[in-house]
Amino acid sequence: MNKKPPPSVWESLALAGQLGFTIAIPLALGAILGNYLDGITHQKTLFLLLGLLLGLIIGIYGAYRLFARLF
Amino acid sequence: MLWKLQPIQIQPETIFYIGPFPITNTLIGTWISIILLFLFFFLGTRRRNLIPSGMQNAVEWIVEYLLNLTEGVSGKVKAKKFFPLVATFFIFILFCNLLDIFPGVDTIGTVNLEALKLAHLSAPTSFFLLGAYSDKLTPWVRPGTSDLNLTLALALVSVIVTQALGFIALGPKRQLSKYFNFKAFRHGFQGPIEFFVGLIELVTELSRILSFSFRLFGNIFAGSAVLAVFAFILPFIADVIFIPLEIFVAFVQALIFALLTLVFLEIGTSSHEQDETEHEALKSYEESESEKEAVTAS
Repeated sequence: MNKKPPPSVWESLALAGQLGFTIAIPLALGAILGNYLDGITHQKTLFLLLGLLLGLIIGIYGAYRLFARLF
Repeated sequence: MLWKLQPIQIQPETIFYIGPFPITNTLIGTWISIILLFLFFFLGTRRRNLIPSGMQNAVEWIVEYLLNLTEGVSGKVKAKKFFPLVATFFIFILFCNLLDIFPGVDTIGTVNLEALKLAHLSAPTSFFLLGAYSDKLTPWVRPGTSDLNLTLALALVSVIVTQALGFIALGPKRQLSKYFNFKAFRHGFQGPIEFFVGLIELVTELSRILSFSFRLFGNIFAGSAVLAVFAFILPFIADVIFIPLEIFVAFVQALIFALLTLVFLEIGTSSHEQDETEHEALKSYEESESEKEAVTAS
């Protein structure tokens, strides 16, 4: 049961514009954090990969949350 | 060579100082937009008639359109609370963005003396900067939103207001438990995952500061860079295509900033629990309605 009317064109456009950032920014932050930790602990790429994985999880969850209100 | 490409730099140029504070050309641009905004609304609402005409008509149309948009997203009750912030964002950003296409913005200024010294040139004698001088200009006015500081400030206002209204609407306990969900540990083996999801929510909330500020800054800065580059490649002709495009981008970016603020305000001030209680209330209402119908039918 849908209580709300479907969002307007502009609202959908705004949300679609936000989608890319929602996925990309946690990924970039995760990569930066991982690279920094690699430098401290003298690892090759361990924390970089972990940071990317974490960023990807956050990005996907964020995208899901963003569009959960549309469907 | 008749003209050179203007140097495209991200940081705004300092024009003069008031005491220790540097006044940059983007700050002057912001002041100009504020003055234009003030004049527009002052002239539009000075002599108010019951049947609007001219400027008053335009102002009323803008306000009514924004009010309808706000009510469409967040409902009549909340719209009254959100409308002032969202409408201010839209109108202010729109005026700042539109400054980009005015003649004289980015093209009128003083000669950059340091750059002249580096290029071993003497001071120019003519009013127009031509030839080797044409890229030695420090413009007096640049659009306010092509400075990352302004867009960052707007994004911070948007995110902080979302959090503050969330605290007011839900109470500090429920608002904090959105992000630090210690209650979830009672659910046994799913608990840590639910707690982790709360932390993810906090990260997405904070990354919104970056996404809001970079999108607005990137679009408007790139817009002014495109206008500058095409004025260099194909003067007088190419800008016939690109200036309407910039007007469109200015409008869309302002609307997107305002609408996203509105959508996140709406999400931030409603919780899952509230949705459930609303859902139950709606269900019981429908049941009572169907009972009434059954009574009247019999």
